[in-house]
Amino acid sequence: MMAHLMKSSLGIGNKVLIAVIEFIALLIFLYAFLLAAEYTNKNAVILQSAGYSMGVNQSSFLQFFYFLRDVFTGSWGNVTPSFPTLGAFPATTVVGFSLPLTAILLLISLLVSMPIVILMGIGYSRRVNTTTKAASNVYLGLGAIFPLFLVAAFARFFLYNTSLIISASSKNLPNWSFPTHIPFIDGLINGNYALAGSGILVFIIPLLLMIFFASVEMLQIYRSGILKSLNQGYLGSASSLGLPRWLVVRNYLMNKGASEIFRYMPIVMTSILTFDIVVEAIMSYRGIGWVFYESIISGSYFGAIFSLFVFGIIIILASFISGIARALLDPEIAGGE
Amino acid sequence: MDGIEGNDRLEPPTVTMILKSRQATKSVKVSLANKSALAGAIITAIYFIIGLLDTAFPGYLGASGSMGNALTAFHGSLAASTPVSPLFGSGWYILGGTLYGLPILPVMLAAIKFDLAFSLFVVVVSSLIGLVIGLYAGFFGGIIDMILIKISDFFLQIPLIGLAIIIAYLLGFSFLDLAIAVAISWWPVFAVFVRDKAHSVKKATFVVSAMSSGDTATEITFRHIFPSILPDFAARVFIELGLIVQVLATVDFLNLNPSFRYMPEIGNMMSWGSSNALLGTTAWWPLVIPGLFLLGFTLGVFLLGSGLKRSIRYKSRRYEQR
Repeated sequence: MMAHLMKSSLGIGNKVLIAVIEFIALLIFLYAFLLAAEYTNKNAVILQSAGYSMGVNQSSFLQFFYFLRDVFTGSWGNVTPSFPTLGAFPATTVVGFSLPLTAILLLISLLVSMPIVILMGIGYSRRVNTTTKAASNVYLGLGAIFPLFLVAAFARFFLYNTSLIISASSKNLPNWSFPTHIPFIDGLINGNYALAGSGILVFIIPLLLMIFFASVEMLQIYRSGILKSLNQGYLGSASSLGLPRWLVVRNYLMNKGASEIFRYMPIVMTSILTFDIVVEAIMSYRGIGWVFYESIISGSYFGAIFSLFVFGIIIILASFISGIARALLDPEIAGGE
Repeated sequence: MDGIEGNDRLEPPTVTMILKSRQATKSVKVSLANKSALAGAIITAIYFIIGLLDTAFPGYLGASGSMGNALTAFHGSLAASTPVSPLFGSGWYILGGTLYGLPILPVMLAAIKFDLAFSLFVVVVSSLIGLVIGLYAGFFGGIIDMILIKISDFFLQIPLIGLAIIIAYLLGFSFLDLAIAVAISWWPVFAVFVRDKAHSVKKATFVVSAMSSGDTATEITFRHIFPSILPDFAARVFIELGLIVQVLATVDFLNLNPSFRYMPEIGNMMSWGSSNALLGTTAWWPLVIPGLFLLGFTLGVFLLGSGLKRSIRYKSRRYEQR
């Protein structure tokens, strides 16, 4: 156990290094977009009106350092006045208000998806065809065939007059609640139960959509992890040692499947954030995905770039945490115990 | 012993050998014997035929090129604002009408060529980039592999829709710009896939033999490794085709490009069907019918791709038995 922890702690150093490299790569990547915006002369007015706050009037090399200065001092420019909420506020404020809504949506959808994935994934632990395996295959097939935007569009159209959908007419209202910006929590804190109730209702459909598509994404990876493990030697050894089947499934196959999810967590998280952008845009759910979408629609370059920056940070964090979780879960990494 | 069955001799399987081999014939038979794969092939073929017909005979459906033309054909003015026609109307209005007084059926059929052209462009460009990078990364291994795969991973870790949208935003958001943006975002999917396959084929006897006989890296990757991974690669291309159509439809549905607004495209049609003018009404067909039409295409390519994958597995099993 001690050796395992030491190995994990050694891994943490490497993972911090990788996270730092990824962070630098993210900054260079975003900076490249800033340069591209300058050279393609898109939204030149916006860039000028921002007073070249990000140093776009300097040489490219110097600009990068101006850019770094602005990143670390939180000067990401303002969203355009046409942004449909608060007006020309700093992009950091707008994204900061939206972050809790996206965070709670991602967190709950991931927490609910995990048990669904584990339950459906167990079907793949046997080579023979079972009802669970067939059900999981159908679930995966539905997820692959149905585009997310189509399901979301149908849901929005057919439930439009219900309390489950944020109506288009409320789009221009600055309706972020305080102090957490999550209406159903703020409603409970402030004793405003009507707000809490409506906050829960408009949360249901985005959550269900996210759970379905996130669980399909994870189930694909979980399945591939289990199928790969079925051919591993240690599985045969465990069985020949007389371990009960359920113990082999729990200790080796399920761990391996979960480990695969953690291994591909950055890519899973990327897919989930892509779903998030689409769901929030269609459902007018005011998370970061919605800010990104509205920034593009209203020509707010800084809003879009800062949203991407936050997405990047979420993925880097997910990558870091999943690396540690994988080191603890994977029977092969854990020294073949 | 011919074609791909020659894996256990030193001759590499060429693309022609694979296509002419008994094994390829068997794979096709296995795919066709699978009813769902056959259905997928038929559905996909129907969509392609409609797209080709509309390209060869533009306007035969009453809607071509731009929505402005289509509107002129039907109403003579882009500003024409009429209520949506009900289902089961006469002539082209058999599936009802959508916004701007347009009949759903011909616009939907005309839309297919744009969706197919977009996804084919993206698949061809991104798969070629991914193929070259993946083959070299898989073949060379070491530091080159690490660098190329880290670059791919970095691209894979950016929300694809977000990346495509922001690149298209910078480029100008024309139809071609969006296609280029999606192709730039999509190549790592193919690169990682090809790299994994190339890495496993690298250990095959014929590759080792080619390396020892002094073939160059380019010769080995394209003449020896590529033909071996071609079937898997083809299956993957079909699966990605369906996903790329979904991306275009999503971007259009979200109305990210105002200049696309009047183009006959499935996502645009769905966007008209769920616009504020129709939200809260009972006119579901302008949204649902184009949605089901899109679903038909994604179902077709998914079944076809799955069938191809199954035939590859069959091939692998047969090879293992030998």
